[in-house]
Amino acid sequence: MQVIEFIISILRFAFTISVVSFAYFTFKNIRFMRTSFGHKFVVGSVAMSLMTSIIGTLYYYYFPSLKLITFSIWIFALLLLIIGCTIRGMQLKRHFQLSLFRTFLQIPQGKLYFAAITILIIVSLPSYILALLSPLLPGYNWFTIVQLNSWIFANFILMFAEKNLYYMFRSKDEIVKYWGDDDIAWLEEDELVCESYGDLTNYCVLAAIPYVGKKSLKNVLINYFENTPVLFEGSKIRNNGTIDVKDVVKNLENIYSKGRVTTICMLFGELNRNLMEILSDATSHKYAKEIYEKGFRDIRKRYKNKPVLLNILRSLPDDILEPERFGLMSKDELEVKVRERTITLEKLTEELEKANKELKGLDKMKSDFIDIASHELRTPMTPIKSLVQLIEEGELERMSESRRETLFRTLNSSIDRLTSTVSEMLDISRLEKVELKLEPLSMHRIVEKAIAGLAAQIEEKKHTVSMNIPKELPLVQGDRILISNLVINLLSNAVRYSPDRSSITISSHKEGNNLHTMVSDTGIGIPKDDLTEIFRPFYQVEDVEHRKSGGVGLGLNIVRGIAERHGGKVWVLSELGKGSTFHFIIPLKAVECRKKEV
Amino acid sequence: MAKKIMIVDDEKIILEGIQLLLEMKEYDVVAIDNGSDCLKKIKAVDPDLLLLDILMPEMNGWEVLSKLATMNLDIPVIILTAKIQTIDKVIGRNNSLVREYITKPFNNEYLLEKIKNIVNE
Repeated sequence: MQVIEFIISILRFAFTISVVSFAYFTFKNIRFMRTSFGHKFVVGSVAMSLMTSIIGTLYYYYFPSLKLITFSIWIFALLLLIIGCTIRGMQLKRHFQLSLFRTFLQIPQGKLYFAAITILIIVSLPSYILALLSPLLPGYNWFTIVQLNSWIFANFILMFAEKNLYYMFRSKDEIVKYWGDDDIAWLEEDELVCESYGDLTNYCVLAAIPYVGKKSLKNVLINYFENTPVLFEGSKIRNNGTIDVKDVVKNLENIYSKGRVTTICMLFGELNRNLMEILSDATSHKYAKEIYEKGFRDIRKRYKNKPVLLNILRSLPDDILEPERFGLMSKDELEVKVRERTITLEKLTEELEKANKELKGLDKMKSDFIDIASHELRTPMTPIKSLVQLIEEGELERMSESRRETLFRTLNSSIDRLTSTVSEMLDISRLEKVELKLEPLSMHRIVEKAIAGLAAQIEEKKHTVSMNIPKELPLVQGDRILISNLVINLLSNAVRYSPDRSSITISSHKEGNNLHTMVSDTGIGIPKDDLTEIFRPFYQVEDVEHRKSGGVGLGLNIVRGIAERHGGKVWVLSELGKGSTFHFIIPLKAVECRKKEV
Repeated sequence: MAKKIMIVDDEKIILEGIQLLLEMKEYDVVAIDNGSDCLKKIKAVDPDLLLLDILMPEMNGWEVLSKLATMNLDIPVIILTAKIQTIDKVIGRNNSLVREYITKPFNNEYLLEKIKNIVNE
């Protein structure tokens, strides 16, 4: 009996020691326990279990008769521990990608948790039952002591396992044994080295944070894909276990500026939420959104067929692209952004309005052209139709000689009008397709011929046309038909738009490698605003309903087209009421240019 | 007595063509090639009908019409124009003087019938 009493007093002493050291151990390690739900839960359940167990034991001593209540309290404490261990086991299972069974039997920490649970169930539970049945047995309730000690022993193992979790990365070989060689982290003296292609980086880095404690994370390396050095370089761990995000951001920006967006996103993708929790400390990160958007698009495209990455990407919350979610952008910054966007939008709107106006202008020009073209074609068709019908009716027989003459003259000039309108319209489209037939041309001869061709009109309006083109001027390289067309166009404009009895002058001189020719008239002149506009297709100086002269408004556009195709140009100087001078230059040596779009 | 018709059009070929046609149909025709001359002479001529073009330099057909309205002249007008847009037709018909709107080129028969109807009222 004395032996039993001695053993019991030793066990009591051991119990006291156990409780005290357990409390110390828990307190000492509490710093490490803050980082994850699993840690908190295990520590919490151990602490609660300790409290309930003590309460249960006191209850047992003071109210030995109410054993059922005592038993219930003990069972509750036991359950808390079992649940804590199981949750830890499940977490380990996920991290190690093993079955629960293998997790508990193969991983060192798993073994410890398993041992703790086994002790609790095999030793502690029978002790409870024996304690409950103790009135039936003589002597001391030593069962109680056994049960309390086994309980405290199991908790020791638990805490050890929990603490040891951080120190497990001891050597690469040991890790490879359980992990395989693609997702690993191990300790080399004070350096934590991680090589990871998968979900585990997450765990490794988190595990490293409490391990490194307040020490600089300078030596933490993540050898990623192409040995990407990284993110935590130069980072410091804060007291609460988070990283000073400014360091991380600096590293991010550094990598980002080197265009390694994908790499960063890999990291983000791999580390996903836990890293984001660390980063959520950040007050601002101007690149975050961009990095996310660009990088994830990139990743999704590149790793479309890799299920592992897809799983990670899928596991990201939908709103991960919103930096605000992580407090990455301050309100001020947002406001600045909004203001910038507004300005950009306003600019775009302005541009759109401008483009719209231009389009409307083009549209007006087009409908003006249709009006004019329709008028120009219908006008000569009217007398043709009317007079042909008259002939058809046999009226020709009844007509006087002079009326017949009028009839045929009108028919003839109507047909001429029609022909010239159609050919003017054809010229412009032909100009874009026709190949230049270049030959040396004498401007003197061309102008001479043009004046001769327009003699009738000149005569009609009683103009004086003088030509000042020396015969000995060098020849220009050009297409005979086109250059003649150009000259005739300018000359006939001068003839048509000048009031009767005007004088028109055509002169040429050599100017560098070009021949410069001028056609001056003393006509009505051209308003300043119209000086460049008149070369646009379909342009008419007067408004549509007051048009004075025939023509579709293509003449000057044709002129410009011809000059440009020869590598020359055309322009006009004019003074209202005093007359206009059209200038054109044609290179002496051929420079053929494709006609520009008009 | 032959009915008197005034034609106003800036195109010489049209004036000549229509004049010939109407004269063959025994109308008395006065051909004028611009709007302001038309306004100057219309009182003296006092035609039974005015054939008016729209697209003319200096003074177009609409301007001639509005001037006519202020002159208190009640002369029926047929608009003869190469413009075919619907909106022009609407504007044309809204003027009280305008009786018809005929687009160029026209059928002689059609024009002559309209003229006959109007001048014989």
